[in-house]
Amino acid sequence: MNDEALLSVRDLRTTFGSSLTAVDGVSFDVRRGQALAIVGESGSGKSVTMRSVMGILPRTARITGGQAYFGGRDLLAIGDKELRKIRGREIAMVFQSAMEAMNPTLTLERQLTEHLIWHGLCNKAEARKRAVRALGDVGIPDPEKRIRTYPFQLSGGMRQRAMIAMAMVTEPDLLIADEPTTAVDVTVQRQILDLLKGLKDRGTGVIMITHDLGVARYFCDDAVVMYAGRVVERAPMASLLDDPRHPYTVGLLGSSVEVGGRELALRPIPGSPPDLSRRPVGCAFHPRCPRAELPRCQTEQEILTIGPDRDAACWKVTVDA
Amino acid sequence: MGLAVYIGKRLVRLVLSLIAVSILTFTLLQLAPGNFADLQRVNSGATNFGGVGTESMVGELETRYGADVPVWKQYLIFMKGAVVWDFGPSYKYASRNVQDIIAEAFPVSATLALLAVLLALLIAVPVGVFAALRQNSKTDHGTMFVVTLGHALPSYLSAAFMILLFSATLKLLPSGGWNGPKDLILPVLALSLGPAAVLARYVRSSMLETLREEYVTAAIAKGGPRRTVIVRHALRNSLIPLVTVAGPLLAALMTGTVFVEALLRIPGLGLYFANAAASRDMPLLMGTALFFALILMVTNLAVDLIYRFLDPRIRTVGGVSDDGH
Amino acid sequence: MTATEGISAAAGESEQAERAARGPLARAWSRFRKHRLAFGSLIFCSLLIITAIAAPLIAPYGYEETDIQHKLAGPGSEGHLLGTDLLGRDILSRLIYGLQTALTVAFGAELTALVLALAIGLLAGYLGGRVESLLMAFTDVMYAFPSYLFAVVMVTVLGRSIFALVVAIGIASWVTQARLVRAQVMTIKEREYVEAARSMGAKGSTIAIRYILPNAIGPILVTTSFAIPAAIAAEAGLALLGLGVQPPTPSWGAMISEGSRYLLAAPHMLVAPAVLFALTLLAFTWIGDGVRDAFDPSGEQR
Repeated sequence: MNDEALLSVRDLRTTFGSSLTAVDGVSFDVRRGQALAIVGESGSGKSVTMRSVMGILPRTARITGGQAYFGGRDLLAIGDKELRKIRGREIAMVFQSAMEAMNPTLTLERQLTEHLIWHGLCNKAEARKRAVRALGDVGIPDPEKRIRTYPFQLSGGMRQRAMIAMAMVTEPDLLIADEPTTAVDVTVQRQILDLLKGLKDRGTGVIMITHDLGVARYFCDDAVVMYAGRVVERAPMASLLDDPRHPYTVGLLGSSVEVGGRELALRPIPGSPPDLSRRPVGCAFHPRCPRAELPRCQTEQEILTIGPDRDAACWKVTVDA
Repeated sequence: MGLAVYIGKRLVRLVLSLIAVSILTFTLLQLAPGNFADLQRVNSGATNFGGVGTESMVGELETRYGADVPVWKQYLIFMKGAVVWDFGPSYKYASRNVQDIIAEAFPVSATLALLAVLLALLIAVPVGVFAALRQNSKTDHGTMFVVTLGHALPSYLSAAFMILLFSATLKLLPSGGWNGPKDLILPVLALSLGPAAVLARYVRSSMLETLREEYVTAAIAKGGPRRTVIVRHALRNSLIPLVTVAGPLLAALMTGTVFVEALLRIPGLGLYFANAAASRDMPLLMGTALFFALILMVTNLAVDLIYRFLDPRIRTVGGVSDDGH
Repeated sequence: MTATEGISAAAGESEQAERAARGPLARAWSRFRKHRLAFGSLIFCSLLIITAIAAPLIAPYGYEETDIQHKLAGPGSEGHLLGTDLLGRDILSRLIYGLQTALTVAFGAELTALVLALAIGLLAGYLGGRVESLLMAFTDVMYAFPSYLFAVVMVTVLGRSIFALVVAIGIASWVTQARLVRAQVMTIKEREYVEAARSMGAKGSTIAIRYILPNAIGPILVTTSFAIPAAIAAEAGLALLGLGVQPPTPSWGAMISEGSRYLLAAPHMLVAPAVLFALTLLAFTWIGDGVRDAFDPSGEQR
């Protein structure tokens, strides 16, 4: 295994419109054969972060700073033409809902083979063979027949697996999964997670975007917790679960449904994430934080190194230690 | 619901609507000053009625609309004939049967309508896509402004401007008549502008909607070249619902060529209809009105059926399953 | 919250309160005024309406007056700004009287349509039941029957007078509006304040006039303002078919038809009515755009 980072994001900054900063100085690394969880509530900027890296932001969004190194190239600087050669071939993406992310009017065959041909990886006949094999790999029975169907003709779980097959058919080095288990029921959730874990074990780097730490802990090695567009805590998964430091992470763990294999009572964090156009001054979490102390929490908070591989953006962690 | 049942229901509704239209028209025309028989006598002088070897026609008009035939019977005779495609003779063109006039004149109107809708699509799709891809830019606003102009002006007014430009000023095209393929250009162009405007707006908004779909983002995330993604994933899916708009437009045009026909002196069915109204040719008026209603309803039904076949989600009845929740 | 945020938020609230205090019509009007194209069009159309009313004072000649010395005179010729037609009648004057015809028919027809639509739409929406199914059945038939066909039949029945045109166009176009009124009534009558009024014993007619009508007015105004140019076009279209007002009363449609026949000899006979007609239609359409945007500011221009 290569210790060098597969993808290395530094100080990424993405704004919407003229003033709304959705991602504000985010940094993280992911290595080959390793899985990183990016955790946060909706609106925390985790999806925007990964869409920035992939260059698939909506038109109103602009990347205003930072780098994203992948195989020695800065994805944010190489331009759309070069980025296109990497997208779908070296970095693939799995979306929240296959119902929405797969074109309802094209057959699976068309959708599983078109990017093999775009990237010039093989001819049409070979592409079909690879697509059938990919469908088989994700556990879809009778793939020869299924490949001729439309996405809506599959069950929800199968559709989700077909989308993973679509991402994996080009054998990418890095897979970004954006809430891949949110739209499916619990049994399917398990199957999807097993699939992703299998990919990781075979050496693919995985970035898993999720709001659910219970899902993230299943196979992720490291975690980055985001709040209001910033990283608030970064740690190996095991340490994060054992000993969460940032009050927000503590809250997230408390509100996570499945911890330690059994359901816990839901204790949601009071309040809701801030409207990014009216970001609280200082630590963005302080209006919801049970441990907030004013006015100290209203001053800008740098991310602090609190141990090997561990950082947190809260001054309290140094006091605690 | 089975397709056959669906079509059956629609056909029943179609027949009922036709009957309603016929009763409505017939009743209204009865209210017109003078009855059919009187009009016939008035007209016979003016139009040389019964002049040249049409004695059998005159006889038939007497049996159909004679003063001694009660109104309800006139209606029944007319409808009985209509079912077997026999509307009887016209007043104005007394030597000809209404159905023959329809058979001769409708293809002219239908040709104009079909060509106009095709041209409208050819204009509207690129314009709509172009505007959508540059949403809220000056090009977008400019294009849509021009589209509004096309939408606001009735076809005959566009035709008037076109003959001023192409016939009077540039002397390139004939200013009307129906003698050769050149005579098709102006009416088709004039008729296509309004539909083109409607369709372009529709393509634009449909395209904007589709471009926001996650599967378009997903296709880009797979490394799709911009043009391929736009054509295969976005455009294709935006155009399917276009049938629902283009179809009714075609139906409306089939019966709406009349003004352009009148202005450019094209012997289409619309022109005959208008002349029938002006000269109170009741059989021709009834016949064409009923025929127009039929065309309109059949086209609309056909559009619905085509739409069902174009969209696989609707085509595969019961194929949609959204389990897992 | 910082001090500045607090101030701006408070300002926003008071502005909102102020806006809410003025009625929906006043709000729409203030938005309409900011719509430059629509406001300009409103001024233009007001001038047209004044011209139409004061036609005998403004028109240099009567519409029947012939100048036998100057038949088919070109534009700018002595005494005839826009030239004369085949019979030597002054085109400018005929345009002005034609405007009178067009606007009388259009406004008359829309008033007819509006009254019909309101009465029947309110009844159907409020009473439901038989009135409603009758309306819907009638609507179905009318949808199968293009409105211009219906108008043609009506003119055949009623003859070629202004009154006939008003009735024919009005009746041909009320159905869509009646459906709209009905739909509005259906949604509004479920709202709480209507329920509240009913529970306090208000009569059906009171509710319809006091509560439902004012709230349905926006969408109705929007359709009506688009229906005006449509009615103008319908009048001209019927005239083009030889089914307009009885000559010699001028109508733009008839003038366009005439002009097209003498296209090569006297193109000015076609240019003047076509241009004025187009400008009028566009101006009325832009007013419609403005009214729509004023009542639905969030709706993107489609």
